[in-house]
Amino acid sequence: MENKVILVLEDEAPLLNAIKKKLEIYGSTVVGARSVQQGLDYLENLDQIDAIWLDHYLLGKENGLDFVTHLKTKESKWKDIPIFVVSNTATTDKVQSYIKLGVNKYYTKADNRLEDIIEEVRDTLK
Amino acid sequence: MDKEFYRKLWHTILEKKDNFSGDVKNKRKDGEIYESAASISPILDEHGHVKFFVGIERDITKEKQIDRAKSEFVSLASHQLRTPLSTINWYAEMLLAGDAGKLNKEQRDYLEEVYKGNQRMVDLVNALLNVSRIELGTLAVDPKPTNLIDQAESVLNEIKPLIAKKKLRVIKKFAKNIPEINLDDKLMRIVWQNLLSNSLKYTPEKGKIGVVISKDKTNVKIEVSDTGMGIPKYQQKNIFTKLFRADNVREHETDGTGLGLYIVKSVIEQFGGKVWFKSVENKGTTFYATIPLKGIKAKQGTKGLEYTK
Repeated sequence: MENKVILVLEDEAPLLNAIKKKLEIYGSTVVGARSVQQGLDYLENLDQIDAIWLDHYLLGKENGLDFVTHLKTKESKWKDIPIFVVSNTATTDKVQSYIKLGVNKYYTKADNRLEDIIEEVRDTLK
Repeated sequence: MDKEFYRKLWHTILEKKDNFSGDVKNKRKDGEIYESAASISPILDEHGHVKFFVGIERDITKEKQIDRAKSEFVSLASHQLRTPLSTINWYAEMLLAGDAGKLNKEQRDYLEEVYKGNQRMVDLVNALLNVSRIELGTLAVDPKPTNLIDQAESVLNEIKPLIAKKKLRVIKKFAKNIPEINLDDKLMRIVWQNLLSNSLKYTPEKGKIGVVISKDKTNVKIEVSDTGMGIPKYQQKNIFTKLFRADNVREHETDGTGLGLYIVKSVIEQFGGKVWFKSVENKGTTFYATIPLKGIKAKQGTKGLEYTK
């Protein structure tokens, strides 16, 4: 995970903080966003983003599904960046929508340890 | 109402000549649909022939609405609870990992308790969400060919460390001719998880857990037995009731939600099967479930079940 830049979209400040700290322990640089628009701005303005950590509910009108839809269009420059959805609203239809759009994996926050999610992200980025 | 409902109704009142009661959807004169609790009794002549029927119907539309509102509230509240629970989980995890500095033994022990307590809360919230989905009828059923033996083995494997810790012996008896059945594998897995974790939890050290899978012409039968504390006779009728926990287990084991068996029964009934048990206090319990070989049809719904321990 060293020298990787991870974009984290999470609206809850304490959770965003915890994810950021833990990823930094693993040597990554974290860019935190709390809305879809903020996330898209970072993608537009930063040279390097290696993976995206995405919550479903975000600040503003748009949610995680809208974000993935923006990223996975044919002409998108960012369609190959791996996306990991980490959310507590794990209804079957939502999980299926995310998987159909092509995200790498879906995790339920309450049922997973931070460390376990990060290690799986790391293995994908290897 | 479906055909099966009316078949059962007529069978009960006309052939068995017995009272029938059930919930019926009906139409008012103005066309509005309402829900009612109906009870129909046959009145017999001196030769035991049906002379006529007496039907009583009570409008329960309002009750049903309140019940749904309650389930919706539970679902919403549970979702809201998961965010702060995740916060506690992740920060406790980081403290325990030493991310904020080394802990002394006492600090570590206390924090382990915080972490464990929080895990129990997560399990409870997951179970409550499952119950509200079952009751709201928003449960999605997504059938695919399911191998029951593989599933039982996989769940047993999951709890293997705990089985070893209690030195329990697991006796498996799987028939060779069990075909794959078209079932929702996630729901079925939750059935196994609940039955097996109960037998593990309520069986004392060096006891036995048995798992049997067999079949007849129409059904697969599963059995999960243990040599555990059993269910007191006077409470056996309540065992599938939501939030019910028997006195003897409450005395020994504080951990548990009283929702597991209710979920098991709801899922097995969704599959068109039956579930029952035999139990002797301080000797053990065996749970039985049958599942039709023909499998199930898909049901549109928005929600699956949450993982529970």
